Amino acid sequence: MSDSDVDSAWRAFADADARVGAPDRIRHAVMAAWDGPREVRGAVRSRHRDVVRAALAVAATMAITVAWFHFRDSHAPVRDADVAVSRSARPPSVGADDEPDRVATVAHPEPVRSSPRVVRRAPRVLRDVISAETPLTGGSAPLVALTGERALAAEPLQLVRVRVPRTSLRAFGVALIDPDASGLVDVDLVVGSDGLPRDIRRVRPVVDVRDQSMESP
Amino acid sequence: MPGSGAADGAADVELLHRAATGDKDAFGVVFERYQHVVYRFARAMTGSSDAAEDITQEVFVVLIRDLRRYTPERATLSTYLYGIARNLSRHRLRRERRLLACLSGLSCVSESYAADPFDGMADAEARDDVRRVLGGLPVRYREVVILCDLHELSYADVAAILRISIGAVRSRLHRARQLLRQRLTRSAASTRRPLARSSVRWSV
Repeated sequence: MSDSDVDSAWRAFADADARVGAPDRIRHAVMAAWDGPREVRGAVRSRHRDVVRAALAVAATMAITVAWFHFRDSHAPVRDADVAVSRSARPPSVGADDEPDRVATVAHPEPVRSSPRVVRRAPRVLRDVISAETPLTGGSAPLVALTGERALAAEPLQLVRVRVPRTSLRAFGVALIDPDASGLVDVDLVVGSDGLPRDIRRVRPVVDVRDQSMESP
Repeated sequence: MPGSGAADGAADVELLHRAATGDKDAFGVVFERYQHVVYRFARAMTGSSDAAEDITQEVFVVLIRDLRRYTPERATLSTYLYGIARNLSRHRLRRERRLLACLSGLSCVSESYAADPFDGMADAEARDDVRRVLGGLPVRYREVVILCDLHELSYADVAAILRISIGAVRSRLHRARQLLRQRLTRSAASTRRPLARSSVRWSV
């Protein structure tokens, strides 16, 4: 292969490129943007920003939900007799196939004391928390569609990992086998450009280190 | 290159000033003057006509938005527009790496073949080879070879667009041409066909 062959190929490419013109529809769109900058600019701007905003809105909503559940749990009176930490009594919960977490359940119901001691739960110390910057890996479970409609192929989607209480999974239509199951769970949501979740999958339960330390002295 | 001369530059400033006061016709002239170069640049960078349309559209929407913020003392309008198109192209390439897969399927179907159909086919194949190899170059080499060799901008203009020194432009261009030549030769050798029309005649 000689240099002249390469040069002539490049010239052919450059000549063809020089003849390329922008389609007229670009002019129409840009001039429409001039006429109505706000409306059209919104339509032609990068869809990426919309998706990011939608994802942030969903994440903020989830964070508020989680915070509210934490607040409610930490202020609710708890009777000592009703709560016993059990490793063996592991109630079946949503997709509980290999959960390493512990769940507070009623192991041995006892008569309620006449003056139950009201205790406040200490704030949960959650470790092994997945940082928001880490790549979303580890979700081997299949995605479950949340809507009856099939997602459009061209729709921009965003995968968002959120940490929610188990009980809030009901809002996504997930049937909880044990309605009293507590604790947090990481789920992946596929969020559409309108901010609504399309699919969901469970990633892993969140291990409550406080409970772990209470159990193993 | 449009807009690189002093007269054109002055006209651009005047047109933009009028556009900033709401003169749609003035903006239309600016658009007509630069839309093709922006589109060609985006198309060569991304390898996709659809992406190039989006980027061209977005470049001028950004210009509409920032008409009052553009300062001609910092850069000519063409440099400014190239810079926006470059940023958008790089952003798009990062976001949608799958666009690279479109490179092989992109062809100029509107072109008619030459009198000799074999010559036309050979030219089309050669162009596709070049397009594919160009799209496979690292972005920092691709953009410099597009600006210098396809758009025939000066080193100074390319340095201003890429915000690097002229020496860096020279070295990148040298390396880009080397890579392009090596890969074109390798590509033609792997397909066992000549690159250009003249070679077709020899091989038949």
